[in-house]
Amino acid sequence: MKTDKSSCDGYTEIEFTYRNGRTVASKRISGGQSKVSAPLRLNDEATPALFLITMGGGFVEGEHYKTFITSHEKTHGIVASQAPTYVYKCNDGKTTVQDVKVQVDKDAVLEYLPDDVIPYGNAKYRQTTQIDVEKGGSLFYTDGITAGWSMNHKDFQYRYVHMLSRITYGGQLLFNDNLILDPHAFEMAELGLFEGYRNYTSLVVVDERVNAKFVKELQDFNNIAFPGAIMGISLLEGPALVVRVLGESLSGNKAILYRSINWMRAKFWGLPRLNLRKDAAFVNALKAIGEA
Amino acid sequence: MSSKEGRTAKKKEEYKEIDRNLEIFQVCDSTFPIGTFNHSYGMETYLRDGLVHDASSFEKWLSIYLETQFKWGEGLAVKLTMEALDKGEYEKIWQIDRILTLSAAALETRKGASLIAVQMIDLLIRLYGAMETKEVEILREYRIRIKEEKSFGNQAIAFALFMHMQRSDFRQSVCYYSYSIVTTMVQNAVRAIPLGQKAGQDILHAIFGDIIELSSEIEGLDESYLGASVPGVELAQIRHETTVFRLFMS
Repeated sequence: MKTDKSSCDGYTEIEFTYRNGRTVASKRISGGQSKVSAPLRLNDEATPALFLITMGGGFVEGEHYKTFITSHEKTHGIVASQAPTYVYKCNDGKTTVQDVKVQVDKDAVLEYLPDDVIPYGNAKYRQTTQIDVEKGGSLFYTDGITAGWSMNHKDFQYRYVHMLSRITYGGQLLFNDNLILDPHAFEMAELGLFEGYRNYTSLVVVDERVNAKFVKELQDFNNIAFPGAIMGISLLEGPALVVRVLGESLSGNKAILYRSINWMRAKFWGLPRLNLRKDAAFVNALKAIGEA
Repeated sequence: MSSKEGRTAKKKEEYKEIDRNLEIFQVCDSTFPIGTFNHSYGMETYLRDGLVHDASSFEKWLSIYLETQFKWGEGLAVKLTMEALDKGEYEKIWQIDRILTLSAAALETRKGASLIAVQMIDLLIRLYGAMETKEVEILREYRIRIKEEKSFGNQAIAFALFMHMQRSDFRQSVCYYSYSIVTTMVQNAVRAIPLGQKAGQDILHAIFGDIIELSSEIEGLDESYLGASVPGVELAQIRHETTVFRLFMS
């Protein structure tokens, strides 16, 4: 994937650099339909947070978006999104595409926490995320896909979604996360697919401290009943783990993941609970599982 | 060569096609001892949750598993491995092994696949080690690579090597491989749910149409599909790890 701004409809490039004992967003370039917020300092920590913004609120049919994020050595930055990724209807059959490329250097921490993808009726969407973490680098990465949105308020009215995330650690492939959703070929609510739930949300964590024992601790921490959701955690092939949640509500899924994110932030870096989102639905979902 | 051995050799030539089929039947048989009976591919999670509880719910799970993770995973791996062998691109096989294995989010799924592959490769080398074919050479290399942790090991890749040695085409290989997986899963279900043996045979017979459909779909797939999955199938495999009462390793 080349950093070619001219050939796409929305372009974002972010770099975090360590200067004078703190992390600064040293590069913050965007073009086309993409914008990126000014660095926001969270209330109770020094970590800068940037928010990705799409003008017009979503991706239009056939558009191509590119995002590049680089976290240089010793930095700790957060990249989130202002709203879910809405993928509008593709009535002419053209696929909407988003390519994301992330680089995390040694001793850098990146929390890349975009919201879930909400495809509209008839949408066709392909997302490819390549994340390269150098040895000693840390990554928190959330992503997710929903039952979508449609005029008739029916679920799974989109045409096709293919989301591929390739994560490498120290130059070696760690996880090839490949998800295909084809509502024309499958009954999406059925066993094996969404099983009556509406949202599938994922968290991948890469950090040298992650091993089988750590995964067991996180599994024990999550050994409680989450209303309206099922979840699981597993060790990946390296110092990394994956958390997956299948649930009824977007906020509910997110709250379950943030509960684990907060637990790991405290354990790894002694940082407070992540205080990024203030919308009522999310705050209520956190409360429902005793996290706020 | 004694006259008896001479007669046998002549018969072998006349019965060449049948002999080849017998060899394939042996490897596809659910009693081929490679430990597949230890693995439920996530089905056991549904069993514990009560979502798989009879013949029809099992059949539903089986067909979804085949049409999704199996099709994009091991099924496609059989095709890609055979293509790599046809073109002499042997290094490609190790790449398929890596992508296929690292597409599984569940640790147990990766471990299970690796254990089965090791037993499959060892048994194939035991049976065919005397033959000096390229495929046997690659099987030996595969085994060493797994030992040295350069590769993970997957049954589908080992099976493709065997079928290529048997001069089978891609369609036969995918269909027969699917059969070998399905017949094992049906036996597992008969044991675990439990189902009657006859009900198991009904399911097996009914799934043949799916297998043929699957093979034709795989023909049109390229590498970008390799290892793809769907939410429920994947999460059931992850959740199996914390399932308390279990008959299966994965």
